[in-house]
Amino acid sequence: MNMPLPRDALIGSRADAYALEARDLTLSYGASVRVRSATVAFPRNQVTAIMGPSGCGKSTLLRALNRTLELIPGARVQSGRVLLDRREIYDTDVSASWVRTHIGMLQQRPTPFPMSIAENVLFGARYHGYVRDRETHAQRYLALVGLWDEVWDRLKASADTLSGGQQQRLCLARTLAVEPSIVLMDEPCSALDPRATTVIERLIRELKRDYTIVVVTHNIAQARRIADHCVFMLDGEVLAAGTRDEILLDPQDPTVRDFMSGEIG
Amino acid sequence: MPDVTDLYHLARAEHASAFAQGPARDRTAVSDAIYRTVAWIGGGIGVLVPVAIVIYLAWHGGSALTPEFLFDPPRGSSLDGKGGIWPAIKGSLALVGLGLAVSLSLGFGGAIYLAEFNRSAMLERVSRFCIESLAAVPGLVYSMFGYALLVVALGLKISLVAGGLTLGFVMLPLILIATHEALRAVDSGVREAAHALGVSHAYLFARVVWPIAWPAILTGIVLAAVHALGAAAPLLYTAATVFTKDTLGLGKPVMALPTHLYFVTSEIGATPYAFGTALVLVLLVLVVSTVALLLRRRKEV
Ligand SMILES: Nc1ncnc2c1ncn2[C@@H]1O[C@H](COP(=O)(O)OP(=O)(O)O)[C@@H](O)[C@H]1O
Ligand SMILES: [Mg+2]
Repeated sequence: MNMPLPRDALIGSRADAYALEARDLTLSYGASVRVRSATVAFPRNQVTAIMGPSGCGKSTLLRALNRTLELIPGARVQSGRVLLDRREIYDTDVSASWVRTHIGMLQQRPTPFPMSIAENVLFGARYHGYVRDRETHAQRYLALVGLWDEVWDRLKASADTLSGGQQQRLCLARTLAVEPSIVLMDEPCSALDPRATTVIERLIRELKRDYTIVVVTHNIAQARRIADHCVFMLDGEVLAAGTRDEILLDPQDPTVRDFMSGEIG
Repeated sequence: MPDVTDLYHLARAEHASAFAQGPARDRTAVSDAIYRTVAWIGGGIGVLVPVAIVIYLAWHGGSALTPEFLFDPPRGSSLDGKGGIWPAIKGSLALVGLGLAVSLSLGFGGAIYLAEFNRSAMLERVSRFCIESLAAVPGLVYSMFGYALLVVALGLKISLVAGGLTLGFVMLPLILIATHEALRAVDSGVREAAHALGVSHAYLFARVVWPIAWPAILTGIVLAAVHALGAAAPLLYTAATVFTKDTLGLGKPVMALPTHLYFVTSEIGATPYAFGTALVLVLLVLVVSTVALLLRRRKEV
């Protein structure tokens, strides 16, 4: 039966999220350095947008933040630190799995797994032993992303039967179900239509009450709608970082100004 | 030399006159028609040849298919086309089964290592090159290799086990390549998403990669098994005997359908007995392929 959960009760009920910080991070694929000495702070319970032209190293930086960069053959962190609430995530006694459960990630394209909608939500949570009651756990996170009302009567259907926007929210529910403190999103709306984009953007704004959120986007209008802070990258370097208005409305750096006015993109 | 503007005006003029002639010479429609015709001829031949082979075999060998033919050993003392082919059916199934056990364990192991664990592009390229070369080796060469290594050097004699292992080598590259391709085809975004949830590689493989990849892997296995089922050459020096009424045994020579067909046809020619043997071989292949098809179909529903 469809028992609507009060979403207000789901959001804003957690303790403060952790802050994330990259210090002097240099990342490379093989011999070529693609991110150089990046120092960025991602304040807790805020949305930080990482912007910059295609190929400037946004995804590379994002992957280094939750230790998925090391999955790519040849890719490595040459130097620098990433601090999750002052704990160094690249310390030898910190496992990649631990880091990834605390720093979740949403891919550019929806990535439903070949299983039912409910199984998708529970995929990671079950592995980590967080699921006491499958139904309530699945319902909780589906409701959190506003998907419960749309899928409550077909939880056993394959996730492929959902629309692209629904699939992306399902993936977000799957990420949130392993209880991260921080959520990284790599151009989460670039494969979606405007309507689905609006839904995701509203979610991002709501979820920052409980999570620290980092969103890669090369859409200036989107950054204006969702971000509290902005980071601007070019050719692997952080050119500017600051509050949304500092970067979007009144950029000091001439290159950033050109990007914001649409001269480069 | 004509000026660029002259060329431009020339082209404009030609275009205008073609337009004035109307849509009579419709090149697109003609080329579509040619394409359709060629596609139909090609597809038609592709369907007709196998169907014709089965009908032809059934026509000439159908009358031989009696219960005795299927379930009795050959009669007499040599190949005179009397009695049944039961030892050859049993032998073929045993040889392919043994070969599958070998090639599946080695092939899955190799493919899973290459696709899931290996991080060196160089190793991947070199192994793939070697394996693809192996797939191109003729059956008779496998047979000589099996003879030299298994039959003589390892002292396995001409036997079921030597033939099974040799068929395993024949199937290994086909299964390894199919499995490797199927695993590689799994979307890297899906893999990354699963890793990003902090789960183990084994959990990710069992719950995400395998469910996506197995239909293609099954197709590869069936193609390899069907190929091995019909291969006479690899068995000639390693396992095949012309005639036996003995029970199956790992250390004993065996009869197999393709070699039996080869011996019978060279001995007594194209008789109903020989056609019947060929028909049984083809039907066995069809059964295996159909079962695989149904398995895959069930997954899609
Ligand atoms: N797997 C890889 N191997 C080698 N180079 C890569 C790989 N992925 C990305 N790069 C290179 O790193 C640079 C940054 O890429 P990326 O971080 O994906 O940029 P963005 O996300 O900002 O578009 C690009 O020049 C790209 O060619
Ligand atoms: Mg990117």
